[in-house]
Amino acid sequence: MTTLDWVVLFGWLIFLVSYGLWRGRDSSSVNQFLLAGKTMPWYAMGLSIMATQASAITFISTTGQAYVDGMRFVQFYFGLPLAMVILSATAVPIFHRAKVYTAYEYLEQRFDAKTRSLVTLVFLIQRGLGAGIALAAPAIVLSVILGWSFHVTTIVMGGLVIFYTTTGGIKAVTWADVQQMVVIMAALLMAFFIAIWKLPSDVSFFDAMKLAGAAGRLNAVDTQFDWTNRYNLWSGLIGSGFLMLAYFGTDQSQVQRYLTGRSIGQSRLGLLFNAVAKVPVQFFILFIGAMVFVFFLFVQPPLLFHPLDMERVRTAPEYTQIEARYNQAFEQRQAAARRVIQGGAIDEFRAAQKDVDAARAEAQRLAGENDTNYIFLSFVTHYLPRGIVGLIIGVIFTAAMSASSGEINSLATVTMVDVYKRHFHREGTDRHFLLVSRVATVFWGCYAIAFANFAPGFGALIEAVNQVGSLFYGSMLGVFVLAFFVKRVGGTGAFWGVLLGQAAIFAVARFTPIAYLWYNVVGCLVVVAAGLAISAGQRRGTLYT
Amino acid sequence: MTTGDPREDKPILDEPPPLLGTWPKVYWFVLAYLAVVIFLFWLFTSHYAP
Repeated sequence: MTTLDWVVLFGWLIFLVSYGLWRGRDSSSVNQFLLAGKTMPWYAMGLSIMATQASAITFISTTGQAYVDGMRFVQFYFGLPLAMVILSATAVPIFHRAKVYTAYEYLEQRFDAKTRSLVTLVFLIQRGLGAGIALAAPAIVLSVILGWSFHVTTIVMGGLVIFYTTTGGIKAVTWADVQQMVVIMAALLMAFFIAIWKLPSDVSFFDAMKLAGAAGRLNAVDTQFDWTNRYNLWSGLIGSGFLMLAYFGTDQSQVQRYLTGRSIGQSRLGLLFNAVAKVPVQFFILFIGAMVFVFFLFVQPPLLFHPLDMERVRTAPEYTQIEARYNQAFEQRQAAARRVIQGGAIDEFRAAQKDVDAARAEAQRLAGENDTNYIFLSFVTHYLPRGIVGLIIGVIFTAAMSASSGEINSLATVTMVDVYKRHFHREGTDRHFLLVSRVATVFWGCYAIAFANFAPGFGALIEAVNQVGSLFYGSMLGVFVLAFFVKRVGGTGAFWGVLLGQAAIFAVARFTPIAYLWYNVVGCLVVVAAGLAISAGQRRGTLYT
Repeated sequence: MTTGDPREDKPILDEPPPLLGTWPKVYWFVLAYLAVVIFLFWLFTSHYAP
């Protein structure tokens, strides 16, 4: 990174935090701090929802996934528009009319206190883990790129998040997210055009598409049904549909976003904006990864994209042999790629690609980890113009902060509303509860930093986040399905349904090879079935006794 | 909570959508849009399949 890049990086960080603080300057009541006084327009909610979900991990990991595995990950988002439509018709009006601060408050209105407390606990465990990962995952990568220690990176990111989230509340978080999404899209467009522009002069954009397709990198849709395949059309529509329903319908980090809307209609528009925009945006991000793959067909990339692993592997006795194989395979692949452009067969190109992959796999085995998350940043830092590098690193930095601030804000809200006020201090002044909300924000921020510092190494980071979510979301979704649609199920049925659903998910994860997206379906169905059965049993018991 | 909370008094507004007249029509539009997007991605995949 040059001096200009550092200036741009710190300028962007200072601007974003200051802007968030300025927009959140009047957060002087609990309602303002937690729900922005219910004044948010749809576009701010929509962009904020997108920014919270599109964390730094998305840019670091998704582009790398397209590079090594193609674009099939886009199918993960096919369930999102379905979920947005269902939630716009159900959860949005229900939560607004219930006048709640959190989704879990509604469970006490509908069922009882024990069901609310149980689901609150599940949320705090799940989102607490997620908040740590959201901070740790990008910090691992950014610390290597910036040359900072991992601990310093997490403390700087976490410290800034705590500062503006504690001061400005959800208004600061939301408006910072809006700026963030605009700059993210601009930065990604720049990266895309530069990847195309830097191709050799005799390789057109359509040649690049042909080569990416020949290498199997444009595999956006797979219609084959397979329980063990993580990403196909069916797991995307059904498994991911359930995950998205749970994420946007029961996770306070998202519910709180659309509760800030000034009307039911504004909240619906915020969700439906995501329904329309999210899939094409993810397609575009993956497509950038595929184009970076084509770029590296003609410019030899390092054997490993992780710079520290590369240094370590260089000292291994097998390195010289692996490097020689890699260099030879790269030359063969480049020559074969040119023949494919001229209309030649693709078999030779695919065989050379396999040799390149085999050499990289051997090097990754020596390094002890894969380097998927370093591919895009390696491209950015080595091939993008000065200043733009700083901007993109800054955007990734603040994307991590955005995801983390949304999670910390929601954890603090649930801690204040569903734990502190519900169980420990039912009456108090607005000033008192505002102070408690701020203290809870600081607590969860410190917790996320501490968790991040003890986090183990994660493979493809975004999958780690989604897998943690999928272990809990199914049962959370199940209890809200009971609450919204099954009037005859009471508190006891819902409570035991959640426990049984959670046990079913853990059993499936532990003892079967079923891909993680399906845990959401299993958990939800078990909660609904168990809730119905227990309530039916209770009614029968009442009739006969 | 003695908060003077403005949401206690605020009426819950449920206005019609800015386009297409009713919310169910907007929902069907979004679902049709999803079907078209998936179909286009499938054409894209088939065209560039190795």
